[in-house]
Amino acid sequence: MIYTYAFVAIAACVAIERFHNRRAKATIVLLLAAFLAIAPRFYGNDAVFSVLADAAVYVMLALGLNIVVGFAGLLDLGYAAFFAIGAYTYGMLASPQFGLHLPFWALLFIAAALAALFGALLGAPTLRLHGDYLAIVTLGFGEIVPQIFQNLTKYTGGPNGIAALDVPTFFGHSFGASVMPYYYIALFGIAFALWISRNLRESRLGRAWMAIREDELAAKHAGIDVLRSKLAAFAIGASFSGIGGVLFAAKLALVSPDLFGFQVSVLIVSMLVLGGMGNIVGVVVGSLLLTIVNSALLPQINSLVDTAFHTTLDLSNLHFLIYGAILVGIMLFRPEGLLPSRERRAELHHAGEAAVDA
Amino acid sequence: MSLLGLAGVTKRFGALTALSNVNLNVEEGAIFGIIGPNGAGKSTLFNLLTAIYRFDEGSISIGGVSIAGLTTQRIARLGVARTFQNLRLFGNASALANVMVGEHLLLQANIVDALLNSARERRERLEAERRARELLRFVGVVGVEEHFARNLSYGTQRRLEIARALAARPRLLLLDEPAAGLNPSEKLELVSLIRAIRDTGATVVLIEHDMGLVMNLCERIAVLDYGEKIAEGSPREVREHPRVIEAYLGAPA
Repeated sequence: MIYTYAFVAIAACVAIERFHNRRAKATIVLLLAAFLAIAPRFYGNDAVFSVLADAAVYVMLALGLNIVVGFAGLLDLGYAAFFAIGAYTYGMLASPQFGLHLPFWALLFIAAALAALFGALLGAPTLRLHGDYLAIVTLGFGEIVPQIFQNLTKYTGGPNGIAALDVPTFFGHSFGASVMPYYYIALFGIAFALWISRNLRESRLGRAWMAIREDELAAKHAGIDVLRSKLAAFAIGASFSGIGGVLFAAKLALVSPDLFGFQVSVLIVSMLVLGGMGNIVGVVVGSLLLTIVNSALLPQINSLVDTAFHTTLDLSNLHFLIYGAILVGIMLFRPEGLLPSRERRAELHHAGEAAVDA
Repeated sequence: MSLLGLAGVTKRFGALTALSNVNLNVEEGAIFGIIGPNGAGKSTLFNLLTAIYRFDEGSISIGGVSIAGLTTQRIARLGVARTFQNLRLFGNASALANVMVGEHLLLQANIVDALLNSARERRERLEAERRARELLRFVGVVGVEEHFARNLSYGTQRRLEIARALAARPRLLLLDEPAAGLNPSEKLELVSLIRAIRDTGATVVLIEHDMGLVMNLCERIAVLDYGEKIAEGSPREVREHPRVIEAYLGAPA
């Protein structure tokens, strides 16, 4: 069942990439939205929509990271830190931890703002670095943040985290134990993230990012404030992650430091690489595919193998191996990703192209 | 009034003095040439003007404003645009997008406009695109507006880079070897393009190796050799200047 949803969504994405007619694209988007909104009434169960809601959160995260890595060209390997900040914002401000019970809806905005703030704080001293150096610093930040949450035991519950988080309400109606509200909110989140991503790409700021990514020195000569533009990318990207964190924490009703480790950052970067960095639709496909592999396919293979051979294998320990294999495979056979942006495709295949004369 | 003024400008790289006590004045509306043998310090001079390097001594003013301590992007705001000796285009972006980046300082849309695709953002985008197409026509890059810059022919790339620099509506346009790698007919087109640019009100300073082109195009020429200005004047004066002849042909036996 979950594969039906994933297949429909991915097929729609591929179709959107193939069609060049704006009308046709809009129609497919509307049909897909209608399907995802209405089909759950007839088809599927809580387990399926739980996975899909998680997948949707990851799509949001990937879209956020795409702004940083794909648009502005800044390799951020610690993106999970902002996810953690969003999740802990909910964990600390909507739980018995401090007796604060701020509303879920307000916290979506507060977490977005906080994550953006930390994005800017991390960015201000580090965005002068380039390429590998920036990657290392962000990697460090990604390691430090969960450590801080783990060691601030007094405020964050330490390694155990914070449990029994508030169940969100919608105009007085509690979400209860159902996962459907999260599924729908995450869908809205994706729609919002897609809209923002598209706006940014076509904007003056988006063009400034393109310039910085392509040639920073030339960008400066055009009068672009490079540092401020990079900070904007970091902050906006982080805010997506903050919102994702709130959704994730509320659905799980739990936060703990081990949920936001390096593997999450790697997972999201893998989604971008798999789908096609810089291309919004490609990123959606990449993140859907990886989440489905992670949350549906692997557990199923796992239980199949276990029942067939009476073993107690745990494939989830092999996640890193599987991402690694996917990344190596993609780099070997399709380095631009499954659905690349025009820019990436050109970049990686320019050697074979003849020059076009004017 | 002079638009660009250098007084006693010196730049050292360690023990090497790349530019030594250079004085220079470029009048508004001029086409000014800077020539000199390889390694004379011509490109270093341009790099000082756009703050890629900082000068060690002296002063540089553009439009009456001292640029000491200003960053590259601040200098761009003073109305300075340039091209590069080895092209620095945004290769994986369309010709049109390259020029639109050049218009950055003419636009006002901020981060909120960007996020919401506001009316201002949309209006400015349309305006910017229209102007970019106009500029591409002006420099003669037609029919390839949507092609990636990296896929354009070399001569077209050179003209595209000029269009990107012009997009900022500069008062001072710096061209670093604009004719390098062009064939004779492209060079002729370049000469008339640079004249047309000057006629729009910009001041043009160019570094060039092609003597014929420089002598034909520039009203005033400064000659650098080993980091020193050895001569300045009209093309005729420069051509007959003994130190220039010596620098190019070697000392008489």
